[in-house]
Amino acid sequence: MSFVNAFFLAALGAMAIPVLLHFVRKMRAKPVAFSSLMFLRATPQQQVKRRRLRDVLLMTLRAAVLGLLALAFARPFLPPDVVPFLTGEENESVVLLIDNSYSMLAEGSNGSALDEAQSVLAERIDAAQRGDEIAIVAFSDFAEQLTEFDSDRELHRQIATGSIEKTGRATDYLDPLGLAVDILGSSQHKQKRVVLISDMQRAGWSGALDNWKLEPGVSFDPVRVGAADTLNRYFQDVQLRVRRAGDDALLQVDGLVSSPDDTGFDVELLVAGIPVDDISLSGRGTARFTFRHPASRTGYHQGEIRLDADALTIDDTFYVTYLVDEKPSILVIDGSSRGGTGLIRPDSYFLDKAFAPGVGTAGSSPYDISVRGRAQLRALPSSTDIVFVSNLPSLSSAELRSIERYAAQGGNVVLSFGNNLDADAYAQSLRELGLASTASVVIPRQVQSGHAIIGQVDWRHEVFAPFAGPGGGAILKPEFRRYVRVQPLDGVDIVGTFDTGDPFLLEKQIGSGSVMFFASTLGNSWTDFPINEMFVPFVYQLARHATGDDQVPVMYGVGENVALPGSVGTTWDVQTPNGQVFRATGDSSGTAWFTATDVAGNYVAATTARRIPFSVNLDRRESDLEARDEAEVYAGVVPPAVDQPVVEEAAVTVKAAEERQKLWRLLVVAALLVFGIETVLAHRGGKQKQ
Amino acid sequence: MSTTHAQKAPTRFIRPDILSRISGLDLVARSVVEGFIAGLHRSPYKGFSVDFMEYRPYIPGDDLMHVDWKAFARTDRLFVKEFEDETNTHMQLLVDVSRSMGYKSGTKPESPTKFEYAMYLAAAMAYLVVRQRDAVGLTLFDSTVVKRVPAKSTKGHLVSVLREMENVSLGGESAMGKPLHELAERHRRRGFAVIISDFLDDVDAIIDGLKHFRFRGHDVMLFQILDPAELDFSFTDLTEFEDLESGERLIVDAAAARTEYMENLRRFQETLRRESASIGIEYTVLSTQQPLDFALFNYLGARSRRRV
Repeated sequence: MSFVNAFFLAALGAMAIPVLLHFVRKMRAKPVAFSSLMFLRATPQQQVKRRRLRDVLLMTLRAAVLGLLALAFARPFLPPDVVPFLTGEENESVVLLIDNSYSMLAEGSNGSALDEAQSVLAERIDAAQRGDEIAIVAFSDFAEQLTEFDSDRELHRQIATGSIEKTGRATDYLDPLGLAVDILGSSQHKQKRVVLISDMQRAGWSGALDNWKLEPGVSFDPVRVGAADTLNRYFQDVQLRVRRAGDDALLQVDGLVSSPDDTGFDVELLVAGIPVDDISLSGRGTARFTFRHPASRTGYHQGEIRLDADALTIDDTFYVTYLVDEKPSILVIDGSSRGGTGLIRPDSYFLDKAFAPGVGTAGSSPYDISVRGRAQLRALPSSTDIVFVSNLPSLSSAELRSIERYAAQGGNVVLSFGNNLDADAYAQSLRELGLASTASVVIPRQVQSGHAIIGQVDWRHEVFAPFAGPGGGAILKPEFRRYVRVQPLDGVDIVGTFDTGDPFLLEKQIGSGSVMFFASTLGNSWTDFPINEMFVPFVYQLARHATGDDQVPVMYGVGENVALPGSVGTTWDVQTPNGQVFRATGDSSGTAWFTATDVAGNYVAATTARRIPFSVNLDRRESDLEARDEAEVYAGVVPPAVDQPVVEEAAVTVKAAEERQKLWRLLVVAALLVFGIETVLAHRGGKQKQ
Repeated sequence: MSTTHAQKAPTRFIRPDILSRISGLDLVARSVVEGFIAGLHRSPYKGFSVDFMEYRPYIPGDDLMHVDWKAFARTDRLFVKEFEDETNTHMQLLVDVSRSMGYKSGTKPESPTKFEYAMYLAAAMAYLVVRQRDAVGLTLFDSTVVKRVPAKSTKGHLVSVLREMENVSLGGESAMGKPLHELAERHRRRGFAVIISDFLDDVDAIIDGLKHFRFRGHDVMLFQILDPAELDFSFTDLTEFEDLESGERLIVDAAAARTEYMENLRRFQETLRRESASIGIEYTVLSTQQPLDFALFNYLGARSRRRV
């Protein structure tokens, strides 16, 4: 038996009062001097004994009244699973949802919110009636059902104490609530209840929940845990860039830190575990920081950005992986006369100006660009990242074989045209490359009122994606006086078309490289595109697209799947921050998927020939500990028509068991009953005497 | 009778517990009697006052000694203070001093015992009697006559009587028959005998003694002094009672025994009342919490009836 107000048990001492009074006053005949005994006669011994017995009974009853009242005030209750008949309520099916997202690791004065949640979970299990069925679900941004509906309290208690794991995941309430409804679909009892034990983070309530409600009739108890005033400092955003300035590379880290108070704090950058820079910041709200760290050594690097420890330490570190790559090299093979004449300039002129803008300041360009004659086309160096082939009449077989071989090794070729074009001959070359079946030069003004412009592009393609935003429409301004009309073959991606409907940019994958078809000139002989404001961004995107294909992302969030490149059957060993090693094997597309990104930290994936480090970070939204109160949560989940208590229900734990049983009422009634018996007995005794 | 009067007793009367704070029986007697007489003048009980003393206009030839000069000073008329009672009555106060009279139940220390109350009453009556120019005598008795002071009417005699009362202490067991017979024999001159006792004795022996008194031509008046606890037996617990006189002990379930006690007491008092009345004796029960005035009322009433 347990008590809600155990301190009232001290009042049980009052039971001694009647006993003491009895022994002091009743048990021994009080000697009294009296004037004369002539009107009295001795009471028979039997009657004296009876009187004493009655006094003992009265004493017991009086002590019992006091004891019962003391017990009633202490509000006792029996564990519901022991005395289900006392609960007076039907059995119910209960789904206990316990939040194990990383915000639950925030430390308060009574331990972490997760510790508190586990205590609440245990209390709920203890408060359940014997026949209640319970299912337990642990959730973060995905929900995991730990038990089916079961009445095995021992199992539930074991789960409550040992199976709730800490995670580095964010919170999403939709998934667990949806799962709870699914689980309740198989419930045995009419009474259904969902208990949500969480820190009720506001960030976890996605817009999808705005129109989601529990079914009418399902009770909902939100139980908020964790300290309401926990202050947490965290990274709101971190951006990494490796910038090239000539031959030098510089890691630039720009970040925002959300700070809840005015206390000063330090941000520290560590590379390979070695502190390389730190900044002191202060101020409430958002603080901005920038680290610039020389990154001359090529290859992958890993590091950390750390904040001073606070109540939630898990989000005080941001993990970074960055790649310092070689300077991309560009080769331009231009069939035009070098430099061009007058205002008309060849492709190589504009490409050179775009990729090496600082004439006379050699080495300042992030690219190595070189212009060569056609002879170079037969022996394309594999170290070149992208080759622009422009204004050739056609491609010979040897040149075609060289292009195919270069592309198969991961090289990228961009074909553009010009006045030297032999359409029929080039059509044959395009067919052999698998790009297009026919080729002919089109002068748009001969078929329509004006020059051709870019009509439609695939905005999702890497080349055009940056132009999808506001202002990006300028890419549609250039006018094309001439272009090459082709009929794309199967397997060729049409990246963009003119307003005439003819494609102006095609792409075909060859091996791990690609060949792209640009339907006009990259000089200004057929178009004004090179002098358009969007030309330089366009060719840069072409270069990035071409050179970036073999790079894999190195920054992930917890729970994200990591796609590791390779071929079918390629085996990657991935070492986690905990030191565990997982194995991922390339599927039919050659991609090996690594999914065990449950922990924030720096990972390393490796094959025998390649090593790809990557970082996994927490979902930063979870670091914002602002929470909804229970009433708000209740209103957001329960249909408005269902009028049920909110906070009171939320507070139901052992007290709920006590309130259900209401043993205090029985005790008060018993006390009144005993008091009545005592009164009758005492009165009756008196009457008999009279 | 007595209880009815007791309930109607005016509250201005001095309570016995207050009397006990007054040192000296003469002061007690004076306080009680003077207050009593003053009350009579203001009260509707005119019969007693005219019976006691009255004024009439001066008639030439009246003794100037009896002129009320104070009244003359106030009214400019001459009044004669005429005392009606010129009988020179002899009153004998018989007070029981047996040990049972030493009982008191009150928790207040100033509550009087039956003995003290009896002494207050006797003193007040003696004072009243002497004030009326009657003779008063005192006899103290338990199972025998302990002290006897013959009746006289002088003020100096009153002092002697009161001194005897103050000096007496409680005696032994009570056995009223013997002293009553003895006293009846000794008091040859007819008079007024006031017996103050708890009468907790053999009722037949008491009646015999009283008959003897009446046989000698005495007017007798009985004042039975009882403690409130003796009158209502307010005990509740299992109690071991000890007889004050014999020392006998009795374990009694008081609450259970109360009914029987009250019935026995009622029978005893009824017998005493009936037998007394049959021989012309007035019987009055007094609680030690009753003001003494009530007893004085009864005395004056009895005296008045006797003279009629």
